[in-house]
Amino acid sequence: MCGILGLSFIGRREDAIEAVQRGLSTIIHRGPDDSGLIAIAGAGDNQQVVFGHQRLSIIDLSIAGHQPMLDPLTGNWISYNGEVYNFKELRRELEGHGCAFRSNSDTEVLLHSYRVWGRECVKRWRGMFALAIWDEQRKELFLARDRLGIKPLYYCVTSIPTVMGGSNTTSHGQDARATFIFASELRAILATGLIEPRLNITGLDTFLMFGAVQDPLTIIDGIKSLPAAHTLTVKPNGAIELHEYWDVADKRDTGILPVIGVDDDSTPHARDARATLRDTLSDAVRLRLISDVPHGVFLSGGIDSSAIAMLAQVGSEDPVKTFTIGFEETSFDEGAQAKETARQLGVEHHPILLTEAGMLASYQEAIGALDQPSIDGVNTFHVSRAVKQAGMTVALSGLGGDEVFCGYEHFRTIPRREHLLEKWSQAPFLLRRFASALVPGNGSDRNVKLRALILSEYGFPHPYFLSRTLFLPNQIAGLLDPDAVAGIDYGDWGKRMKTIVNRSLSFDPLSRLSYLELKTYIANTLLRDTDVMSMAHSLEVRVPLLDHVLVEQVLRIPGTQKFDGKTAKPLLVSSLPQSLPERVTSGPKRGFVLPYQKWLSGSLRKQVEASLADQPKALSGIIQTKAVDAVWQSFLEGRTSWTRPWSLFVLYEVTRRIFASSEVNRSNLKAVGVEQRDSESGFTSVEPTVYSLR
Amino acid sequence: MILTLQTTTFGSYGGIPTYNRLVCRALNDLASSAEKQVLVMTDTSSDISNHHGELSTLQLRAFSRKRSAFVGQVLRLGLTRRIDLALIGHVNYASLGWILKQLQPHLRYGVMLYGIDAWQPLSGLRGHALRQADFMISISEFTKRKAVESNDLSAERIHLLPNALEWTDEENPISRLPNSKFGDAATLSRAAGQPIASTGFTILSVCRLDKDEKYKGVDKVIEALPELLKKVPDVQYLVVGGGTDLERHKELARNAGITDRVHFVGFIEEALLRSCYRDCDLFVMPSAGEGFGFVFLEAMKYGKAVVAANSGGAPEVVADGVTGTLVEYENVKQLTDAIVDLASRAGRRAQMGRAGHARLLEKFTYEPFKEKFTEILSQEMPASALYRIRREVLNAAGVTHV
Repeated sequence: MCGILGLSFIGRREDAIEAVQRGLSTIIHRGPDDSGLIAIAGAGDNQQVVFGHQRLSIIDLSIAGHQPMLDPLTGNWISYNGEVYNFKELRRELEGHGCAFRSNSDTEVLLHSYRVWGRECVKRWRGMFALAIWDEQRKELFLARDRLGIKPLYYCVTSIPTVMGGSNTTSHGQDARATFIFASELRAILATGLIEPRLNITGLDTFLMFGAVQDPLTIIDGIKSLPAAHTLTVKPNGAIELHEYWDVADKRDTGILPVIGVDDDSTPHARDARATLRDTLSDAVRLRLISDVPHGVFLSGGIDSSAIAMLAQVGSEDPVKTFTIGFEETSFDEGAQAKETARQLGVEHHPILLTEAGMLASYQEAIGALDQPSIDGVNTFHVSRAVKQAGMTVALSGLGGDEVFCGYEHFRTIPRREHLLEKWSQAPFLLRRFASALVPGNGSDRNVKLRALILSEYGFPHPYFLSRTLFLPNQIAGLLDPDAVAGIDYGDWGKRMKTIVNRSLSFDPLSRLSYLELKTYIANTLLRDTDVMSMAHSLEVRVPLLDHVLVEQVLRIPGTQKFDGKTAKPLLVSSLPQSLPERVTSGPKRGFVLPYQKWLSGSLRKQVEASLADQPKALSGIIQTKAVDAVWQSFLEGRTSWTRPWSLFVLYEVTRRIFASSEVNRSNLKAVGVEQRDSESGFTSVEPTVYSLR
Repeated sequence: MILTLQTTTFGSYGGIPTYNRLVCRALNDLASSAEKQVLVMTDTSSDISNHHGELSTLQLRAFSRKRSAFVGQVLRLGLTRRIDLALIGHVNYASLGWILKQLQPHLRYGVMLYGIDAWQPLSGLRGHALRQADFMISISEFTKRKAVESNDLSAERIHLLPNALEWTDEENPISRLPNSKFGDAATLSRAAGQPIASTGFTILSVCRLDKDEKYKGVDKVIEALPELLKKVPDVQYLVVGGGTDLERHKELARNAGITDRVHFVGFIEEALLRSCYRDCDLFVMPSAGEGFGFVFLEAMKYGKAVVAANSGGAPEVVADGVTGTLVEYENVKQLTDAIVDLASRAGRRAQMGRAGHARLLEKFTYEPFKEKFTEILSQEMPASALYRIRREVLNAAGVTHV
């Protein structure tokens, strides 16, 4: 688990190296154990390719695992962040192809697999990864991201427009002189000083919609997030090719797994199917226990984390360490329950008690770690810090269980409404308006959403999105300055939404929700936040329930088998080798939730009010301060939940930080004699200004 | 949805249809994913059938003067569809805008003001609807002023959007040399029923001659002719257009004994009309009440100096002393002097013609029209509607259940 950064540009080598060094210095937290940098002669005259790497040593702690790593046979280089859990099997297979290995690292396995299988190698990797490979023969830069988007990968290209590709490869305009930068975090790209930050209005808009910026957009113009399951190739002539190599919707009819029912073990067929799922589930956990450093399991006491703890313990001789987080002030009862659950599971229980005062003292630090605005993630920041301080470097999490195994309440409500809503949206406008007028106009979040639902004016192609909506279209229209609205361009993202929604239609209504969650909420909120917040403490979080083989199998199973309206996550529970304790399966939904509502109106009130009163310059002419004040008032009067003012507070704070550090980055540019361009020209330009060093 | 109601658009020539066509074109080019419906009352289906292609983002519907069907459709849309903005193309339809607003209070409606219809005090629902309109769009400052005075409107709510010339061909004005031949003298002679000299100093007027609209000033030109003949012996006057007041004009010419110098050719083919603009020496129309003065634009296109009256919308189109000469309405002496002056100075005429052409390109073509129209719409569209319409791209992400 690491931080990667690299670039390709035309200019002096020492300038390229300095730019990467500046970038790396901002992501040391992702990998404090080792640092590496390599400069490679690129395709044309003066083309410099520089790879940087910050290493968090997890597998093969020796210097043999140092990165960037060279394949001496081909001259290929790799800079890689992630864990490919089946690397031992792959290694055996590659040895059969005559590959000789110098280390025990998975990195070397990936390098060899690229040589042997080419770009298709990504299809053989099981795990999480974001990487760049320099292909010396082809003089190409190859980037890849794991299937579900667990590890982040951002890129920026100076002047070449890129268009999101579907499952087919797409080629784009080309310019061999363009500068291309990639990194694990936005801040590293910005710190190279090669791009002047401008706020991306559409990225901001999607943040207001969902509380997280939606890929391929980022909050910065010109920097894109490579979507999950995509590869990207920069050709010698500068052309960029995006290719989607996997989608769970394509895996529906592979015939691996027959349809099974939860209570249907009557036929050998069904028994086989259940056995396959059981095996996949235990494989998914077993593979994620591979590490050469201490690891543990986040145990909330809910079904997902208890299942992981149980499966981890089944395959382990020593007791598995579990970490349960609670508040010192309130967690006495829950602590006792968690202890009892841990005892029944046979794991080594480590309660971690956080103090409210401690967390309040470090909220600034947490927001600083976010990299992009997000309403989530602060709890992961605190939990990760505590687990890291307890001596762990790797932690397993139950993330994704609610979405894949249909744990949320909206799995009950949305599929039922889906058809009805589709018909209703065709009803005469006046009838819809009349019906919406029956909803009490008290401005509460619930009623505002209900009204939008009845009016069929929630601005999304599927009612699912309403369940993840932060601000409704009317509210965003109020928050955004009309001139900013004119700058919105849904091009790339709109196409991606369209593709996702159209593909989701091949699933039954419940699995469709899982699919939509995987493609949007999990990728853009849960996984992105978890990565950036855990890596802030150099802690690697692994997510067995988002193992792609498991996801492929579970999404093929009819929704009715995953959600029966009576018991929670029946499929997951029945696929475990042993029964879970009664209190886990029947108790209320657990999780570690921070008391934001209380904090915002109490301990943090002054800070939030001061922040909201002082709009960052980058947001002026984009966000209307009057509307922000109205949101805050509405929160104080109890009409809207904490998520709305919190999201604006986070937006203000993150923007402030991005643009304050950009001042520093720009002064670095002066130091290396880079041409400057006026940055006061506003933030509506679509293309970023990228400086080429002289 | 943006709903536009128009009187006549593709079915005839003239200022208002031109304006309506420009509105359609600007709506079509609007960078918005909003649904745009245009309902045209008097056009027939065949009138609009050729235009669906070039106006592909619009839904055009013609009603062939079937008033009940037209009103019925407006009401149907008001009851069943969300309308964000209604552009009411004529004061006579203002009440429809008002009714739509009663059905959908969030909706904003604007009424277009062209000319004489908006100058008179409007009573009843029509007047109320006009006063209640969220905004108005006036074709000229003059019309705006008159409408404000007679209908007690607030001037701040009225946008100015001058008419513009549609370029139907690539032709640029080629001014003929003074006293060269009239290209289609023979065809025109047939239309006039009397010989038209292919040489001589030809002045041109193009207008409808109706008893209700006696302000066009053609009669004043006829009155000026005897005096003119003394100074410009080869002058002849070509009048294009007709109507209920044509006979009175003919009578005037007969009484003055100058029938051989005044040629009433009636309504003529567009190509022939173009040749008249091209081949005349001076365009004269000292009208008192042009809402805008669309014909002046045609003359400017062909690089002709213009003599017009210093009233109505004409002063907004004709720059006095630069692109033509403005005279007092009904002041025959001033009119005569102005014509004589320009007839005797070919260089001055040509200079004014060039200036008029430049002014036309700068102010009265589609590009400035579209720019202004788009600006008005972005001011008048509710912010929430602008954003919601943008979001419709996402909504229309093609979800059809299989």
